[in-house]
Amino acid sequence: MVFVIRRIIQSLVVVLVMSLVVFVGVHVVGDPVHILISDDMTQEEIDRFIQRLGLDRPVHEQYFHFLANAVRGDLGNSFVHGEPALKLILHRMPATLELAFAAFLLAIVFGIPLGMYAGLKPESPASRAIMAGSILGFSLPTFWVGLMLIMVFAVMLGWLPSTGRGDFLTWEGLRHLALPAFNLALFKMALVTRLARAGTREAALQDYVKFARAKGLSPSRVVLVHVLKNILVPVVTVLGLELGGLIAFSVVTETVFAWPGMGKLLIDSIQRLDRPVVVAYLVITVLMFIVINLIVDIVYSMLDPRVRLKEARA
Amino acid sequence: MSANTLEVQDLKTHFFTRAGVVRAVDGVSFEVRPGEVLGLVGESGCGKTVTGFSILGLVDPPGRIVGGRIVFDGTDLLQLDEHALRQIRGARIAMVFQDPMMTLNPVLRIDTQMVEAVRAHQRMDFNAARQIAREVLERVGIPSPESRLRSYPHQFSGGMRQRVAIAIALLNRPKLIIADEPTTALDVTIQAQILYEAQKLCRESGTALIWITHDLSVVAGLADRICVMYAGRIVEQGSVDEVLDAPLHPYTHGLIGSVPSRNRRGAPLAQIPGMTPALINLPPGCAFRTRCSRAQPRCSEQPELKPHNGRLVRCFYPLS
Amino acid sequence: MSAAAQTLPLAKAETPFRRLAREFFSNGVATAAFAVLLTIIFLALFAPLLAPQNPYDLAKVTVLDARLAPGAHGSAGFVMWLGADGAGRDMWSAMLYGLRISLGVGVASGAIALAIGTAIGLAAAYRGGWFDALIMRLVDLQLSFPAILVALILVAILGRGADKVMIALILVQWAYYARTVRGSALVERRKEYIEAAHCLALPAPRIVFRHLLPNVVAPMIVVGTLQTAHAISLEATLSFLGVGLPLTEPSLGLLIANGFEYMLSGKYWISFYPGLALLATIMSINLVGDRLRDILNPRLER
Repeated sequence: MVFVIRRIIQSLVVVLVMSLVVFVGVHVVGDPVHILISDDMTQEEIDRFIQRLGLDRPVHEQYFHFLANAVRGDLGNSFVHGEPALKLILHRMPATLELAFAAFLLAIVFGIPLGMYAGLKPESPASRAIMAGSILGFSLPTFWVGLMLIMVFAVMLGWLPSTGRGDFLTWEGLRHLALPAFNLALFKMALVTRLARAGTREAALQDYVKFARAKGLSPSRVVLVHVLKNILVPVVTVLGLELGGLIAFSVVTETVFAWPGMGKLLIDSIQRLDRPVVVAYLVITVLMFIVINLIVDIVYSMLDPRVRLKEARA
Repeated sequence: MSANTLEVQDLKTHFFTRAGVVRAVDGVSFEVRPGEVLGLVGESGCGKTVTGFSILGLVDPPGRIVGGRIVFDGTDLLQLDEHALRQIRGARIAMVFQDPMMTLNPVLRIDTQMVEAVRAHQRMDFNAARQIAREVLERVGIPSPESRLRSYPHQFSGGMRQRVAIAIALLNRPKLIIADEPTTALDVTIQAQILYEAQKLCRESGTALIWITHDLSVVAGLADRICVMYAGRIVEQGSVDEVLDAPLHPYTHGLIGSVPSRNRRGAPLAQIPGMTPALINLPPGCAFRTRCSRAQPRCSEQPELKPHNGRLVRCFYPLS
Repeated sequence: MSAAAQTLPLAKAETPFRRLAREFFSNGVATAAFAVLLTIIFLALFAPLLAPQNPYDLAKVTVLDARLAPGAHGSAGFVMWLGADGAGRDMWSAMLYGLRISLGVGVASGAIALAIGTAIGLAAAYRGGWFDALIMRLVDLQLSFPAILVALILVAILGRGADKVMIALILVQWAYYARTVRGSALVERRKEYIEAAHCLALPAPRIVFRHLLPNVVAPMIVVGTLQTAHAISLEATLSFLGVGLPLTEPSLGLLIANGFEYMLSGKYWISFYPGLALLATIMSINLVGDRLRDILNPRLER
């Protein structure tokens, strides 16, 4: 319990630091006037805007102003849509999360078994094929794979739709989800496979595996309980951090498949210079990251009992 | 005379590496009777651990058993398929490894690891198996076994962990236990306790015990008979009193002489000159001849294990 | 006395480089990848000479050729083996020029990031103390965020333009180099030859550059190759999304983006071939880097 509280406090510190970084990035490094003000405002409107936002005040005052607003959920209004930027982002968040989680599940469900198999029989042809596939998986640029998937499955074969999103958890929804989720998952799947393989190879050589066999345990139990639990720890840690990466990288997949998520909104906003939305996206994403890191830490401590006790003693 | 629990006949286990063939076990034969403690003694690298693994069929590639017979309770283990072997492992023959920290899975609880050993061989529900585990933990002298069952390996001290490992070996009441250097990683007082308890258990339950070690002093107090191994072969075999009091093989003699407690204070420690040979591509003839003060030209032939004074010795010029 | 002073010839000692080369090429896949990589570099360097047409010279390109299928004849008289894109540019030529830019930007940003990251990493390892702690916090913070996010943030702040993209790529990569180099340097620093150099009162920069650095090179090479592949992929992704290199410097990513709209009507070649070129580049670099890592990593000595 103490462990959890400590982690939460640490996370809050990071949130604060990140808010500082975002603030510095937007207000100090970039020209804040330039960034937050729409290009087609008259000079009078600009002056009023500056005053309202307090951009003529000293920097530290601006920072507190920014924090106060941010905590209240006010991150400015979108130039393009005219609505509060935060609301826009949150509206699109579920779509992105659906995509990211689907990709996450795919990566685990395929990556871990494939990696474990390759680790247990490293010399077999199947295992070599798996490793070759994994190199392909993380060398292929995601957007290009997406295009090829559309090409093959939507245009040539006509099995799956190429764009858009169906309703959550319906058959139509899953059909629309299939290609983008697979596309997003591919890179991570390759990583997970390689991780699982390395972990399994190392675990298989350990004495406790030999001892388990000496006890007369069936091979499936040895693998599924003894080996798996040991590799889960490093794999889960990496995966958890990669979940954040998936959410960020969905930007690409959403663009290719016209998936209506946050990422697509971000790209559109960058291109249309709709800066408040960009800022809102960054704030939300960074927050998500920190929360995910926190959860991963907690799960990690649950899986590996040695961590819990070490922390308690520290 | 009751039948032997285990009879190893001319066992050969070789490792086929890129650098050459390592004849880790090269024609080893011995028997163990019910309730008997057999000490398998030798320096590291002489093949004693591989012998132990060979009996259970746990030799990993590039190693392979290439010859011999291992007769356990009338069945040749080398003729059995993996499935049949698995039923024997952990149930009728159990093994205790050297380093309990490495042999107990660090991320699984003790009760999980003990219960699975029981349920692998008997149909039983979790709680019944757990009950057996608890009883055995008590037998090996672990206090408050209930809380211990819920713990993880790293929460135990070295001596406790090894007791747990021994407990696991005892769970299914095996007829033979192979203990591979089980007390080497422990300090002397714990070692003495465990030795005492091991002896007691064997006497009480009629379990045969093969105790693999490099430490003569351990064997002296514990074993009934002793096999001395060198470079993959047995060089002397007999009852422990006879062998240790009046060794026949020069190597045995050197081993005994080099035990620190047997040396006089202030005098230089007696040592066997030279080093144990690498097992890759051993030269022909007696493997000990390069270090033996009694070596003669005849020793460039391989001596056979022959009876001498009621024991077995592999030497042309045994000490008498 | 002169004849007797003749020394026996020494056996030809194998330099570390020779041994590296020998071990590297003993693997067929790695050798093939290396050959592919060399070919790609060659193509990129000599693109103007190898391309039948300069696709960005507006005088040479005519929209009459637009969307020609692979193998068709263009108006300028040569065969467009890989077809033409929406504006009539020969795909093979466009690909070669694109390859040049993609490779160039990737390698250049990687090299600069390597230089910066190495310098900082070495300095941190050598100075230790609060400086080291600060740098490492910074590195950890940056590395806990995915590269694409950092890149997008930087592009959003800095704006558009080739130089801004370069800066973004460099800023994304330096942390990884810094951390690797610092790790290696810390291990080396504890070793005795550094103490010896200390005792000789050699000036700090000299110790760092002439003694520490050469021993840190091995992991740097591995990270360097893999990071370069990653940088090329990242730049292509950014260009594809439209926030990378501008139209005046069309990298492979942009070419692929241009071909996107034609995908649904079956004109695959506009995106497919630049994609293949990109894939071949990234994969060959990854394979080479993988092999280097297997050789240079002492732990895998089985």
